[in-house]
Amino acid sequence: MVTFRSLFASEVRRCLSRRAVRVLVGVGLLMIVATGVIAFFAVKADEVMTASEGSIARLTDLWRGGGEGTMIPVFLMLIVGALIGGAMVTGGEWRAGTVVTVSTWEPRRVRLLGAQFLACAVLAAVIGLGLLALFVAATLPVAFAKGSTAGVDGAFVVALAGGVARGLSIVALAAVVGAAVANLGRTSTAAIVGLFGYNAIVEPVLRGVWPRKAGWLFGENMATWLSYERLDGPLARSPVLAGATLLVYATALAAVVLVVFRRRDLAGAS
Amino acid sequence: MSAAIEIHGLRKAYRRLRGAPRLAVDGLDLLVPEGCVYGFLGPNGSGKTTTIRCLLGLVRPTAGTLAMLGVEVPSHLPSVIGRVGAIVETPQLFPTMSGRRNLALLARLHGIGASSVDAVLARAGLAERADDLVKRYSLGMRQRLGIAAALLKDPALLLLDEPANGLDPAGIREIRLLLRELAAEGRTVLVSSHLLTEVANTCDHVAILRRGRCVAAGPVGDVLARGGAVGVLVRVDDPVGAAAVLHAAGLAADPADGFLRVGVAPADASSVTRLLAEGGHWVSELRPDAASLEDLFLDLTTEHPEEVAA
Repeated sequence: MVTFRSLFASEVRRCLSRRAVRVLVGVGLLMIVATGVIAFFAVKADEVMTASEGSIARLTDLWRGGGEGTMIPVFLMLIVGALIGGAMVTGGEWRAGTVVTVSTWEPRRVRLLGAQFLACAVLAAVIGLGLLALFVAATLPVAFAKGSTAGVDGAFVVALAGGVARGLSIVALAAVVGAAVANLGRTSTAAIVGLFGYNAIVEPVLRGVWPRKAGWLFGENMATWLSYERLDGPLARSPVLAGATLLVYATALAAVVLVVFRRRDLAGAS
Repeated sequence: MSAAIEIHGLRKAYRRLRGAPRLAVDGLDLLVPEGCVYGFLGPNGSGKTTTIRCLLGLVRPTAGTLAMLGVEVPSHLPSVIGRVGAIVETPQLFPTMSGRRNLALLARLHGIGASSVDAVLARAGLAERADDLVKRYSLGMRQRLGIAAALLKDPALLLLDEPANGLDPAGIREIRLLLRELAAEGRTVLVSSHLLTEVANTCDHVAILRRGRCVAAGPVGDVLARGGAVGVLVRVDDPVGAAAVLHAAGLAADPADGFLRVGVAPADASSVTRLLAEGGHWVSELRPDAASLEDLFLDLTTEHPEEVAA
């Protein structure tokens, strides 16, 4: 009998062997290193302390609270990367046909796909944590040379750690959502196009047509959970509730996909 | 002898977006005895691969019961899958990993050690290229890797869907020998193939499918006999004169392709040679007029226009 632990370990190794995952991580590394280098040469020391929008050379500006900070774009990049990575890992399995091979070793499909979702989530969070650490490291030279480390105290570290934890939880859920949609459609491309179409078209339209319902959208809940500040408006909700809403959405989607995967034929007529 | 595979009334209809469902398997009954090499034959679309997929739980049967090694599937498949190795069509493994790494990952699932990986790679003839990426493998090498993966679980039952696909003649011969070895070790092998000569040379039993139904099944000799091992073929210098001699003795004899087709059982061939010798006709060649597996296959599976229309 295959244990869930061995299944999960196998899925992690398979995810890491995917070229798409390596390319995404490589792009992330490149962007972060480039950001650090550009910041080192572009930031002017006399402008650091007066920058009202925050400066990459000021360490406390990494996380300013209220959804602001130089780390926020990195989170957005990680969320997008996790969506794409999750979709490509699962869609690639269908394209290569390996889902059939693995199913002849572990026929319990819910466990199989559950292990894959978990592997995607854990890897996305771990890779995200690594890239965030690298981003912080990349900002240190400019902070020490031209900026400031003032204000980096226990309270700041706690706030930063909380922000990182919440951000990485979104990254993990994004990987599961990407993997789930790709599994449903049996292709990564359709999943990526669909997810970005939803984000770029569907949510803005819904927000415009039913502004009072906007509190139910992914975007609003993500912003609330990440910033950890109560959403304004008629459907104002607490950050914890926003985080729970995201969790429920992702879990519901994953559950639907698990049920479909359990019942579907893994190959068509030949 | 108990059955390694037992299938009763298997039906599988694939739903389609438009039109009626396509019936891939239509009431198939099949018994595969333990410890044999069982040939599974049929033209494209006859239901061979779908049957194997149903056994492995890859597709859901519409109706019927299936069992492998005495265990009902797909309901209890997890309890038996560890003793079943399989190739379904072209083996699909991770192209960006080496063959060895692919097998190592699968092996870990069932707690199989690295030494077993090396052993099956060697047995499948892939040891030298085991560390190359799968995407650089030829079709034949992928097939060998699939066979290695199927052997990795040290299975009691192997389901091999076209295992010789893409192999060169030497590779096909190796597979034939391997299948015999596996049967000699007490394993059961169900092998679907289009290489009828190979099946005839390799398999103990055979089933021929047509339009999702089994049209012939049993030991190869019995199935061929059903196709009509009806006489002997005799080569003589004067077929017409020889035929007259045999007719005079009350035997049916007709010239055919330089031979004389004589209506006696191969076991009674000596009576033919005696009669012809007495009549002054010397036999230069004599062999049973048995239908080949290919003849039988074509006879049983060729679509006739009225059936296609129906």
